[in-house]
This record gives sequence, C-alpha cells and structure tokens, in this order.
Amino acid sequence: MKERVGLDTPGKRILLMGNEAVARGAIEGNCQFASSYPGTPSSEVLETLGRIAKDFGIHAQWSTNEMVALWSAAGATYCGLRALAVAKHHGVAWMTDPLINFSHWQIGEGGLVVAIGDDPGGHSSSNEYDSRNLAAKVFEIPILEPADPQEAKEFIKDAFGLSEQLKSPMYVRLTTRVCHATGDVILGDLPKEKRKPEFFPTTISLGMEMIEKRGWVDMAYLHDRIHTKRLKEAAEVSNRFPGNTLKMDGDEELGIVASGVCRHYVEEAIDTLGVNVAFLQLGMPFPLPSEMVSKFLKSVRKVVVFEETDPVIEMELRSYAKDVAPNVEILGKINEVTPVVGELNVIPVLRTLSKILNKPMPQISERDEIKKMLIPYQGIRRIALCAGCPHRASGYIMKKATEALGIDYYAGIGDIGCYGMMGLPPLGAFALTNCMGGSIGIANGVAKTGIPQLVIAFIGDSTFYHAGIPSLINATFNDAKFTTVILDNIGTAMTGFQPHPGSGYTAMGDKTKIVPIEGLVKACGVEYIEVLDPYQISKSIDGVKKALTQPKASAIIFRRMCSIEFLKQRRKEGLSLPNIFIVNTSKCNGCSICIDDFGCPAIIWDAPNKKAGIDYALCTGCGNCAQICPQKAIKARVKK
Amino acid sequence: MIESFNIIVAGVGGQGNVLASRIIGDAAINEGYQVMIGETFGAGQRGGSVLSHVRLSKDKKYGPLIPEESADVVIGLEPFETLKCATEFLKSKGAIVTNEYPVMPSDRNYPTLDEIFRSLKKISAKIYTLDSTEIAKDLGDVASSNIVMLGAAFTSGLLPLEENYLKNAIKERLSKSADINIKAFDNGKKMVKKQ
Repeated sequence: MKERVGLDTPGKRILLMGNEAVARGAIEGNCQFASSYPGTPSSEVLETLGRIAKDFGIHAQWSTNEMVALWSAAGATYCGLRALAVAKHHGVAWMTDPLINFSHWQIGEGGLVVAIGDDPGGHSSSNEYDSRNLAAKVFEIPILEPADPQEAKEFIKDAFGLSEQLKSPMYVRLTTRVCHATGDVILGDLPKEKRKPEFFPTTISLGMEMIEKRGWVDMAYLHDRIHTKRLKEAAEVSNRFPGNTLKMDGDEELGIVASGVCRHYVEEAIDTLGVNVAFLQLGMPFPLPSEMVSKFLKSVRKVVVFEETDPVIEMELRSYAKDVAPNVEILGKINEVTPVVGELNVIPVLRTLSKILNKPMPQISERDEIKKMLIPYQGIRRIALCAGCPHRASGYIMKKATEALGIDYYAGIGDIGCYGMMGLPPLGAFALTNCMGGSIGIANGVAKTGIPQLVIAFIGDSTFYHAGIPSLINATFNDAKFTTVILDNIGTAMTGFQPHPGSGYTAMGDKTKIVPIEGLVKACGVEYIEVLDPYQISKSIDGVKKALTQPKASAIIFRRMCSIEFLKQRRKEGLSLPNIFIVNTSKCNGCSICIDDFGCPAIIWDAPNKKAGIDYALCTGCGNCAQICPQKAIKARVKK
Repeated sequence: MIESFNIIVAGVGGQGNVLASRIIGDAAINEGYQVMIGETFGAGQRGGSVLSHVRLSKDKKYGPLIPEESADVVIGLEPFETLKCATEFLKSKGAIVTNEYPVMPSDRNYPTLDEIFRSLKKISAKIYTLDSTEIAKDLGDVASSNIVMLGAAFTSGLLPLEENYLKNAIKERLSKSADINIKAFDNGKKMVKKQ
C-alpha cells in the first residue's frame, strides 16, 4: 500500500493532515460509501478516500453538488452501509432540505455522518458563518467538534456508531484549523468485516405506521420524536462522550469553556499566564453534557466561552445557567468580551484572559521601525490569476470583443471560482457575484427588467454542473435574453482540480463518460452556442462578437485546461513542456499593454530599461502575450 | 529532547514550504516529538505568501498556529518573506536561516536586499544565509531549493533533530527524486554562511 493513511499498523504514530485523518476515521469506522463536492477547507477528505477506496473495497465519489452528495450517501445507508457526506460550510446550505428530512424521517440502517469544514474568517470562502446553528437549530442533530487531526479521526469513527444508536445523522463540525492542521495521529484498527448491502427503506413504513395509529401522517409527531427522544438520548451520550472533559478542583473562581481548536489556544494561554481555572472542553457541544455543565456552572462564579464563529455554546450555557446557576456570570461574544466574529488564536485568548484575571500580557519587543519599513510592500503579492491562466485570456477576449462592438458598459454577473478574479482589474469582466450558480439566475432577473444594456453571466464549468443548469432552463422558459459565458478549464480548479462530469474520470481514478457542457446548454434551450479556445485570441474575439449580437439568448464556452494542471499532468506523464516565451528587447517599445491590460504575473517590468521581461520560472508557455503584443516583440524560445 | 520548539518555514506559494514542513514533521515524530503543523496562505493559488508553522513538543498538543514572537527559528525560502515573517513571529533570541534569492513581484515594488538584511540584523544576531535557488539550479532542479534550506538549517544547529531522521524523511517523501534531494540537503549544509 502506497498511501500511509491506509497503513494496517495499529498503534503507529504518523503525520496526517486533518482531512486525511477524517478519511482514516471513516475507514476505521467501517464507512463503505463517501460522497462530496469539493470546497476548501475540506476537499482533501474525499480526495484521500478516492485514492484509497479500491484498497478497501469501498466507494468514493465526487458529486455534482453537495445536495446530490448527501442524497447518494443516504442511499447507501438505506442499504445498511455506513456512509459519509463531506462539504464546506457553503455546501451545508445546499444540503439543508434533504438533511431536515433525514433528521425528521429516518435514515437507513447504516450510520450517516455529515462532515463539514467551516471557514472561520472566510480564508477561502465568500463569507464566514457558523454551520452549527443549522445543525443544532434547524437539523436538530448532534454535533461533534474535534480539536485536531487525532480527534478528527476518533470522532468520525465514533460518529457512525452514534448515528446508528441515535437513529440520527451525526454532524461533525470541522474548521480550517482542524482540516488543514497536520499532526501526529495514532492509527487504530482497520475493520475486519464489510457489511453486505440490502435495500431496506423506512420512509413509507414509518408513514404507514402513523396512518394506522393516528389516521394520518403526523409531521409534528416526527418533530416531537426529535425533542422527546433523540436529543434527550443524545444528551446522555454527551455526558459520557470521551471528548467532553471537565478539569476542576472546585476552588476555581473562573471557568473556561472551549470547543474545537480553541481548546488548544486556551491550554496554551493558561500555561503562559500560569493561572488556575476550571476548564470544560466540549468535543460534543450539542446537545450539551447536562450533568457536567450543571456541576461546572454551580462551582464557578464567572465563565468565559471560546468558540468559533457564533455564540452557539454560549447561548445554550446561558439557558442552562438560568435554571441551575442563575448568578454565574457568562462572558463571551454576546457581551463582546471575546472577539465577536472571525477566527481565534492564542493571542486574542491571552488578551481576553489577561484582562479578566488582571494578569499582564507577555512582553513583546516592538519592532516598529521594521514594521514601518514593510508598509509600502505589504500588498506586493497580490491576488491574481496564475501565469498562463486561460481565464485571463477569456477576460481579455471579452474586453476586446465588447470594445470592438462599441459597448462600454454591460451588466456583467460573475460566479464562484478562480474566474472570480476576472472581475478585478485589469480585466474587469463583471461587477457582481453571489454564490454557486447565482450568475445565471441573477442575469435572468436583470435581463427581464428590460435594461437597455447587454447582460452577460460568467460561470465556471464545475459551477455550471453544480447549480447553473436549473437557472439556465428557467431563463429559457421565461425567455430572458442574455449571454452565458461558461469558463471551462476541465476540472474544479480552485479547490485543487478535482474531476467533474466534463473531466472524463472519477474520484477513484476510473475513466468515465463525459457529459458535455454544450449538450446541456443546448438541452436547456439556448440555440446559439460558440465553443472557443481562449488561447486563440483573435479568432475567439470574432466568436464572441457573433454571440453577443444574436437576437436571442446565446452561450459562449471557453474551453482550455487550467495551465497549472496542464503542466502538472505533462510532468507526471513524462511529456515535454511547452517552450517558454521571451521578449525581444529591441522590438519592445515599452507600451506595457502586456502588463497593464493583460497582467500575467510572469511578465515583469524592467523599470530602468522601460521594457517588459518574462520570468522564466513562472512562464507556462501559453503564448497569449505574444498574440496580444502590438510590436510582435514576444517570441517562443526554442529549448536548449 | 526539548520541551517545546517552534519553527516557521516562510516562502511564496510554489516554493515547497509545505513539503519542507512535512519532512521536519516526519523526522520529529520518529524522534518521539508530538507535532502540529499549520499553514497560513495569502490570497491567490500561486505566488502568494505562505507560512508553515511547525510546533514540536515533548508531551503537549498545541494548536497549529505559533503566537506572535514565539518562533525559535525562521527558515526563509525568500528574503522578503523571511523578513515579514521574522518581524512578526521570531522570538527575541531566535535564529534565522534564509535564501538570498528574491521572488520579484511584477511591478518590482520590492526593497533592496541590503535593506532586508539590515532589518533582519536588527531582529536577530543569529542569521545564516545562502542562495538556495542557485544551488538547487546547479543540481538540476530549482524545486529542491526547499531541501537545500533544510540542510542549511540543520548544519547551522537550528533544528533539534538528527541528520539521519531528516534524510530518511526526505527519502520517504521524495522517493522518486531522493538522490538529487539528498545532494541538495548536503549542499545546503556545505554552503551556508553565518552573517
């Protein structure tokens, strides 16, 4: 076995990323089906499972979106198998309707675990929100919240059994600092026996049971079972869950509560300050371990809660405290004692505790002079499309085509993916983005207002498969006239190039049928479609001009593989790489169009000589700069 | 065995920070340390600032981020990134080992190397440097620059780890190009100079 995450060496300590540890936990927990749509920070869970699935005789798949991922995982549970659905926090919103139904009705005999990567601070997301709110208040299912890779593995493994015990989906809330932390993990036993699938659905029989007993299908009864049975049983589980611990002598004035990675921040801060506090660690924050919490609240005078991102535990504690310890003072986000939003770290925890306990913060040397010197350079490694990125060429083509048509302003709507950066200067292709699939739906609305301008929706390939299709059908259905631009780089590039239905292979590396985008667009009712190669700039400009001047709705598909992935695949297959390009400095007149209008990061301005130059380490050999240079000063360099 | 030890590998996306931190992590586990590694990325898939926080400890589990001014060592794969990182994270008595070869932004808005090294000297008295990019290029693969830096950090006495553990980790992680990377490690060891 090549993958260390699949080693059959129980007790061995190895280095695993949190997401790999989740995959290992699924294997140890005898999960036989896993499904996901990629999203940072949790993409590597299914990537890992896809690589090792065949070694363990299980199935792992990338799905077209998170809702489909959850449905397919639930399908396996109705056949008695344990199944895992993985997404980032944005993906949970897509899972919402099925997950409420799986919560109220019933999952199959197999345990269902939903592992979600929240992104406090929104490092790689269009917002931050705390998906525990949905799990606790909308899905009403138990939440586990590991602090590090080791716990991630253990909790995922435990979650399958708990799901079967509580007849409920289990919610494992991960965060960026758990998913992307890499730490030592002690491997456990691998399962000895696999389950045999047998279709055993429960929904209709549950409905019939209610009809027989009550004469109708009583939805409130289904909801009632959650409150009177599941959550009470889950609270019992929470009292005994090994990830919930209380360290308390009984004479501490201050009690600290922490969940997830915050627990490690608190431990480090307590060590640094050298203080004596009671410490309640919650690996299962919902439902709260009632006995442990009562004992804790009755013993201390003040409590401070550290959690990311919303005051989920804090609110629950407040309502508990009202009954069992009404005089205890609870500090946290609600009274702004801890940071209200964003990601925590050791320093903010230290700052909060030093204030509450009246202890000095550890001294740090002021490096003001150097910090001042750094200020002008803070933004030097700006966000940008990669060198050779086909989206840059597509954006440039759109700009030149609209300019040629005399259009100086159009209603451009973008979507979620690397091509989001096409909205930024120098391309400025659009001025609005929302969430996965939003571009086409919004364009539908904009177009139907009857504004005089052209309306153009920009959407990626993976995003189109994910959520663009129903919007496009809707636009045709309602005769909304706009142009849909699909930026197809043949994979889900932004999250690390996972395959999608246009890629031709699966998560497990098997060849599969391609579902062509142009076929889908045509089936959605768009009659005029241009399929263009963005690396052929002038030809593509003509194609775009035609599409934009159609009397009816049209679509443009820019197809060219992600430049980074292209080079990676060529290297992997031992194939020759494209020649890189160089600037002929005697021809370059320093017009800087290649930098100011095109903006490839491989093109470097040689200020003293007022000429463009190309960084050989960054150039991918796409040749687009050679096509746009008015002086024809850029040429392919023949290899040595 | 040291009670706890914090290392940051600073560089630009694509320079191999993550791999360097994993090699340190593997070696440390085999020497019996508890390990926690975290990464912080600037925006953009390629070319943004990347920091890999590596935390070793005898018996504690730490969170994945090193607090301000708590790093014992900064291993810099790029001079400006080294300075930015050391300013924020290096302990007052911490040490720095850095590549001298800059990764220029498109608009060349970049301080002079002289400015960078003058500032670094204000932060630490223990500075070790070499041109790991050039050394790696001479070996035939610029990508091994990160391993050159590990060799340099080792020989400067900045890592609480033994050479054979580091080399075994390199061989295991880079099995296909083990020879060139072991050479990279050895050349890093030879070429590093104290400033």
